[in-house]
Amino acid sequence: MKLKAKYAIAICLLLSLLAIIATGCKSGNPNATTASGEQNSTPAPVSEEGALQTLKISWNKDIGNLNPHMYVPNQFFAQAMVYEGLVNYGEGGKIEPSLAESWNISEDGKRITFHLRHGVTFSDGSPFTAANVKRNFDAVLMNKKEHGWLELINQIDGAEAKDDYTFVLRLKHPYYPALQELTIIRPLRFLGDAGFPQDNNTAKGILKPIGTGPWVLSAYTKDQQAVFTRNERYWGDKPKLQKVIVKIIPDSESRVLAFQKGDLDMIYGTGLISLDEFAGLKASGRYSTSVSKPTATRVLVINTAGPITKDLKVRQALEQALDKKAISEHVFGGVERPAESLISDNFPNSGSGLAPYAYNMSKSSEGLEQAGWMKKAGSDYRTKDGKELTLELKYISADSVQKSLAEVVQGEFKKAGVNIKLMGLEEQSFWDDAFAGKFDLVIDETWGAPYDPHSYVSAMRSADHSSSSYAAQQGLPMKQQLDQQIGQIMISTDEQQRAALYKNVFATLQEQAVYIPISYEANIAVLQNKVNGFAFPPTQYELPLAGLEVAR
Amino acid sequence: MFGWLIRRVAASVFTLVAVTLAGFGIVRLMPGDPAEAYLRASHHSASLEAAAALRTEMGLDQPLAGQYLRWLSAALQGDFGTSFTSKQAIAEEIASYFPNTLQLALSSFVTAMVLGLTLGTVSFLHQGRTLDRAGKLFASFGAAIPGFLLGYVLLYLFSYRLNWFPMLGKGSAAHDVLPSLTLSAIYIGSLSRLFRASLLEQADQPYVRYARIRGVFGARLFAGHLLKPAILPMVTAAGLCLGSMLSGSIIVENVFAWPGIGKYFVAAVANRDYPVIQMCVLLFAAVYAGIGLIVDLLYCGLNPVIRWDEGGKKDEA
Repeated sequence: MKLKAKYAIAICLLLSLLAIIATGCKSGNPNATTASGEQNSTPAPVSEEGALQTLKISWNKDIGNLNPHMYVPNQFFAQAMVYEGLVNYGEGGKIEPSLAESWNISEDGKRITFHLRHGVTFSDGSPFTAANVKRNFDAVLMNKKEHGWLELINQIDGAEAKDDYTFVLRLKHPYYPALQELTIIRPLRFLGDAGFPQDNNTAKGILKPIGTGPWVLSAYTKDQQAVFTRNERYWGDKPKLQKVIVKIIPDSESRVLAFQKGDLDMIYGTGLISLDEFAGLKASGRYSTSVSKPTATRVLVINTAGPITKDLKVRQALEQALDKKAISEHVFGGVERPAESLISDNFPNSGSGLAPYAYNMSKSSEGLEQAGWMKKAGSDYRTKDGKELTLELKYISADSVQKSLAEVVQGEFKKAGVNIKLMGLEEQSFWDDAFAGKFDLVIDETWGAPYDPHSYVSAMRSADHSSSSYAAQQGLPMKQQLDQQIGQIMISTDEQQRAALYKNVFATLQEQAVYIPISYEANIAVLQNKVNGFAFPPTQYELPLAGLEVAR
Repeated sequence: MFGWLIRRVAASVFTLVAVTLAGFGIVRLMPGDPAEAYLRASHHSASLEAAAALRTEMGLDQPLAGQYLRWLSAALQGDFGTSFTSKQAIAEEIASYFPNTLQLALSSFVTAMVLGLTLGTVSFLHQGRTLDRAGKLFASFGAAIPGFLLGYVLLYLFSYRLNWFPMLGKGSAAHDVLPSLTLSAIYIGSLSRLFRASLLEQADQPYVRYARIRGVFGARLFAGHLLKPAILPMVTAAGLCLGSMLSGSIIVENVFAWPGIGKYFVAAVANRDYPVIQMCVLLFAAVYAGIGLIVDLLYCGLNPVIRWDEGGKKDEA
């Protein structure tokens, strides 16, 4: 009895003391106790949103400030919801009309005339005209250096509004990917006049995100959520959804839990959840899941100037020593299919038809022996003149997919007697080494639609820090001719000639075994059963909102 | 006492300047270049020309000493610069993230203190018996379980299964509960063990034995003779606990989609966003220095036996 009373009083005293501390702390921070934001404090998911066609999704980063002409922290998908370009990237890389209904290219390839769609208005009601197109082009051209990575920007000689609905783009040289590059989500999309700052320099910021696209940003809390409502003035087929709520959730496990709880209607994209988590959701059988066509290619890039890998026989032997089927199953759970070529054949000018290197250990071993790398009984690895066959494979250590891929590759190559030394690097250090050619092998990827193949191939010529390709190709005896061919591709106006040149380039790269295509990256989609009308869009970075519906 | 305070504040300022210098130096020793990091995050390629132009724009082509002095003098005038990545004023960004961190830190701190001291008291009163052992087990568990795992377990149980609390993000008071529990878990155990040990130590002091002889027992003994001296070492521990909570927790922020400063800081390191890193380092150092100062003042208030000699050092009389 005595003990109990002692205990109870002690606890009471302690709690009241702490309550005083607690109220003292809380008084400086009113937000801690009062509800704020749009979320319900009661966790019941039913709300007035049920009456509207609302889709709840999540993203791992804040959407950014929705500046159509700028890059990070702007997210592609959000820019694409609000802003549109002159032309669109369609299925299989076909260029389709968007804000331009049609266009003509002059015979010398240096002048493109766009006939703009009539009756298009911005979300604020102002008309979309050629003068606005010119104003947007001028704003982008004010910051040529920032945008110069896009070759079209360097090729533009002038832009003029001929009349209200005719816009002319003059180029310095014929440049065939001009239309492809106009489909890219940034920087050549159109901001309404009321969004421009006084000096027109949109790189410094915009006043309001006003676009012609199907969605309007209606509410936004940085790093928490963004709400888009349907643009009732939209010229095209209006979405069936009325509202899209994007919640910012950085962590993939948390995203999966929120989805399973019903707080999210769809998970869509690459890298938002791990492939294991995708497999788990698929296996549960409670959701509809799908995997897109290839969006880009994961490759192992071999340094043709490396001390060991400069030998073509070694590179070809490496190509034959990888069991891509096993990698696709073990590392990617079958989501990323085994890759046969550098660019998948659902892309235009992919150089399809080249015979891939088949997985063949005995041929691989033969090749290594011809190159002088012999395996002695009792040792795991081959040697030549007393030196072991050791290659350095670099990857980004924070990327869990790359890490497991690197480990599997190490195991596979060991079977061929090749010792792979793994070096996981922090991202910036990785790129420093990749651009400087300080590697034997690196894990890299192609750039996806709409950049593949032209931008990816074009960058192979340039010492600019774009991809590991430039450094990796330095040991090729025909590097100069290869670069010339790529140069010709970019200015050729004849489609057949261009296709032939592409084929040549890809054939050379294949024969020279510069890239080991590993798997085709893909977008994944997981949807609640109440969401209907899903179809993958033709490019990697847009959301598939067009046909979606949420059943009541 | 007043002289001591002035000397103490001056020392804190000196520490802060030293920290800014160290922070400035260390970020520049990291491999990778902010201009290229920005360009590569923006698009697929970083042309050498664009990177050079951007480096000039970012002021990175200037001599290091000049860069540091310019940054320091601007910071002293309240201009903390612009983020390389978002191009927004850093002061504004911190003003949007830090209150969220403050909210989470304070609710976690209160949770940790309430539960830690309560558990410590219970363990003390039941020394060597089942409840004490349970407390010890709980403390080891809290210290050993990784934050992200506990976060997932709590989310799974209390939000997904039982639906008692909302899932993620910041909003109502209910949104604070699970992240606060996760963030405080690691401290609850250590605070409770520390408080238990401190109470035991005091209970063995001659004045407590004397009080018992005088017939002081139970709550009067606890509140009048034990609590105050035993709580003294807790002040330092509480200060450290609050400091580390206020510098943001990337793990809890990630798991619970909490828009705090930890994530902002880690993203800045990944993007080599020098001005943001420098500002965060300065902020965290200021938080620790400020808390250190408050802890010292509390010591002085709580225990008049501690006095300050003329040399400005704390000294037990």
